[in-house]
Amino acid sequence: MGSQFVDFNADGRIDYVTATFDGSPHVALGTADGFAEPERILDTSGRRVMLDQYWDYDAKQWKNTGGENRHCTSAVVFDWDADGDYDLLLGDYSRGELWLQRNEGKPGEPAFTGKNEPVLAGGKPFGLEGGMTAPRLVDWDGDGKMDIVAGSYGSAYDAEPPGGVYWFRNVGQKGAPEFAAAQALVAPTKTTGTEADRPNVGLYADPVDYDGDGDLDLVVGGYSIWTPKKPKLTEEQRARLVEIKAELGELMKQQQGFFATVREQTKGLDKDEAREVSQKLYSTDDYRAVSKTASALRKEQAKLEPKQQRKASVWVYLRKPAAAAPGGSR
Amino acid sequence: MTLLSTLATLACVAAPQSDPQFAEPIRLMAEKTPLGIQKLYPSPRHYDIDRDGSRELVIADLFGHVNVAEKTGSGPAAWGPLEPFMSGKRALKFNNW
Repeated sequence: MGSQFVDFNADGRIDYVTATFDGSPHVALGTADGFAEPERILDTSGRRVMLDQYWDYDAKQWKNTGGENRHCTSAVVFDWDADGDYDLLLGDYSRGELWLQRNEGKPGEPAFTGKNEPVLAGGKPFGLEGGMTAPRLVDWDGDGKMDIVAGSYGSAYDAEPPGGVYWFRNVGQKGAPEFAAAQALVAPTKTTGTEADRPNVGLYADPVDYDGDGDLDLVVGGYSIWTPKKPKLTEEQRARLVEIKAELGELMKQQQGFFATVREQTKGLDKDEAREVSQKLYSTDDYRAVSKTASALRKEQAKLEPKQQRKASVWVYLRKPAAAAPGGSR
Repeated sequence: MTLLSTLATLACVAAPQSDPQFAEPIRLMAEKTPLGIQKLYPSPRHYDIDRDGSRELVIADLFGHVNVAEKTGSGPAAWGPLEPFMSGKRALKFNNW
């Protein structure tokens, strides 16, 4: 879920525009003390703006309007055609596409058409490898035109491909933007490191002058994936490792038994009933004791035999000062 | 505020940077805790969300929660703890599935 702060309804207050994994854009209108309760952005026929896939809150299931499984999980508003009101750009998380939905209304009275048009980059539809996290609008090259900077997810767990951050330069004109092919600002990095030293997947980027030095930096959220160096084990530690694995094997059998019980007792129940029953079963002292012991053993095992780690955090990439031109002033 | 004036909030006004070089990334920390470590797909914005004149670190997540940290300490990495963003008396939260 990206975040855009913009006066969406033209009332003089900054609003909060985003899209969530439910498949639609939302806006929380600015108020005197913050933001109002978020609401969905609707088109002229009163339908939720979306691509194909969306979560139906009433039916409590995923639905698909187009059969293409495009899934909007990010959105920004942008006066695409320079007609004085905000149009919508919708990011597709799985294919990395970007779609335009035009606003035929006026400031404060939006009329989104319900029709999505593909946005091109380098003459082809956007297709960010690894899927799009969220687009951001920014004049990255200072030419007076709004560019797009977007991150990519990459593969969430096996980390190939990794994610990156990309710049799509606006080479069009005011009211008729055209975007060049992607240029990497943060190139995808292999996840073979031994420590968390950068984000590798799920990169959400904010291009901003973080340190106030007059140039644009990148604040980037994402997951680091790394495998700590393996320690040299003593004979005693090796023996302990064997014991831990055996104990964990027994505990996993017990956990599988719990899971089977939960499956059996929730069969045929609706989502809410099933959640209630399963929460009750997972709250028993027996299950908690097994989980607690297994967790402690896994921590002990991880110290002796480190495995791949995956942790979220936020990073800043500070821009290096530009190198002085040869023969420049002294 | 008109559309034209709010365009300034969309754009980052700064020097041109068509071929930027970045230093090695710095992980943002609240003392010893990496910011966003407990969040599912943290999505940051460096923005003055509470209108107090200084920028906070706003971190939204996949569940629709919005959290915020205030700048503390010196150096680019040091931030205060991440807290839910309160709008009036309620934590701001966007609907999710």
